[in-house]
Amino acid sequence: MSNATNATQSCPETSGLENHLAAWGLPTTEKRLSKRLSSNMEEVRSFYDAMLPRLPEFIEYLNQFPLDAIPKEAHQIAWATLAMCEVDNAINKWNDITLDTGIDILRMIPKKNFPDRGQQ
Amino acid sequence: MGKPENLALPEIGSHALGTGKLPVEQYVSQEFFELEKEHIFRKSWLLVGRESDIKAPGDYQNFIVDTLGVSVVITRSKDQKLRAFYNACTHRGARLVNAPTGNVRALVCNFHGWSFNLEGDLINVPDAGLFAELDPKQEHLKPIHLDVWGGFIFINLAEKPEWTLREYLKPLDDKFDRYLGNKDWSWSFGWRAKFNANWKLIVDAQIEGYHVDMTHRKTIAGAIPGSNTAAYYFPESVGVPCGVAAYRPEDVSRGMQTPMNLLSAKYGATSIYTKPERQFAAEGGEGVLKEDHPLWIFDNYLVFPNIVLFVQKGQILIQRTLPISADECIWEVDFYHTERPTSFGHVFNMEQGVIQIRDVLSEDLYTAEGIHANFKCGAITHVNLNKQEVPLRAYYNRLLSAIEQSQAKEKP
Repeated sequence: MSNATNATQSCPETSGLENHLAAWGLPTTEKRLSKRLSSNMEEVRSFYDAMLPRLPEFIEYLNQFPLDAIPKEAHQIAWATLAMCEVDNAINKWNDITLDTGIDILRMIPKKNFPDRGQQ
Repeated sequence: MGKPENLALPEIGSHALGTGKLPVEQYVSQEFFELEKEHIFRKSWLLVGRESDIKAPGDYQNFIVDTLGVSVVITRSKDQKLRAFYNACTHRGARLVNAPTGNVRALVCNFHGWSFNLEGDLINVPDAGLFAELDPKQEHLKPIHLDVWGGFIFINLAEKPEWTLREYLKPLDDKFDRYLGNKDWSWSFGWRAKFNANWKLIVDAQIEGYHVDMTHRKTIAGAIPGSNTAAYYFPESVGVPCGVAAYRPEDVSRGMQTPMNLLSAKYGATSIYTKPERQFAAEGGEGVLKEDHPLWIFDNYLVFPNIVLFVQKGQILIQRTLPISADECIWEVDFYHTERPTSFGHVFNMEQGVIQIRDVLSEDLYTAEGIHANFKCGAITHVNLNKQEVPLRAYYNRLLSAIEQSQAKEKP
């Protein structure tokens, strides 16, 4: 069942955000984590400050589609919106790119399923 | 919010298991580790998988207990029954499967082609006439005890387990079995990591709430105050020595709720550190979920020896730690939810939850290697435990009593 036909809002206006969307609109959590780790605080803050006021509008727009029917032209917006989760702590809690009171985050290898233990 | 009297929190802990320092040999002694291999890992019920991951006839999972060199193959056969065997061909001992999971019609050895059905019977031997005496009935795969509880597969490597799984898991009763075994749970995400630390140090970090305010000062401090985590212990239990219950602060403004947390909370309940505006759906949590307390978030139970099981409404979180040696271990965490995201808002909520918990776990895991080194070099010979850390005493007591009981059984 699709409610895409009910979608009334058009794709949000993103002028002025193009560079941020291109830089942070990456398709996986791992790629967005890498992007954070390879950025400096100035870049992260500039992305965060530009995106934050737009987020409610972006989410409401994206939320009207079934997940598999989000228009292709909105994917970058969706991924950049998710990238905001990746930079939240850096901006709001650490004032730093990385957490200095935790293990190197790259040591935590994402699993694909419960039995996944990598190469045996 | 409930009435004020409902906000009373349980006792934070107990001195009932003693107040003295605990020694640390059990973390670094090779001799003690050999005892653990023999009397703990070969005798305890070990959580190895989820029943729903081995669903169709022919599905199998290969579970490895590195430190014992044991590889277990768990199969689902046409009769829908799950069975566990040593992953060892009875011809000359080769491993039958090498992938972690798969689906096969039969277990065929790559060495000479001996085949076993999913019930473990030897069904084909190439050029069988070459063997002078071969009774296929005697060449069944070596079985391993298996049982299912709460949708999770447990195995026990003992020839004859001392307890049934249900006896082992008391006081976690049939209500937990039903809640955790609900078919709606599905795996959502997880991580694994290797540590140069004794396996128990990773477990220790998860079974007390005293660490929360300091360890998590840069993530969730305040959202679950250390003073709102209540420790308890079950001295009569064989396999569940202790647990911790976590409650939100009475003052909901405590903890730093970032604009991102607040926005994501509108769309789902994935982050356990933000009071969600939406609740997970969850069936059958009566007697499991402490929902009569308005601030309750989750309980975590130590399932001896190596599992910390977090139970909350609509979310299960399982942390497993297995030793590779006395000084190395593999840690894994897996999350289950009763709902799959169907909208972007829910995906956004989940992404926020995943990243928050990832960063929190990275803090929990930060101390083990340093502690291990300090124990190993002799800088620290004893540790101090307060009443809120009583689960660590309960864990230690169970470790010693499990070894003593097993040793006593083996004496003629």
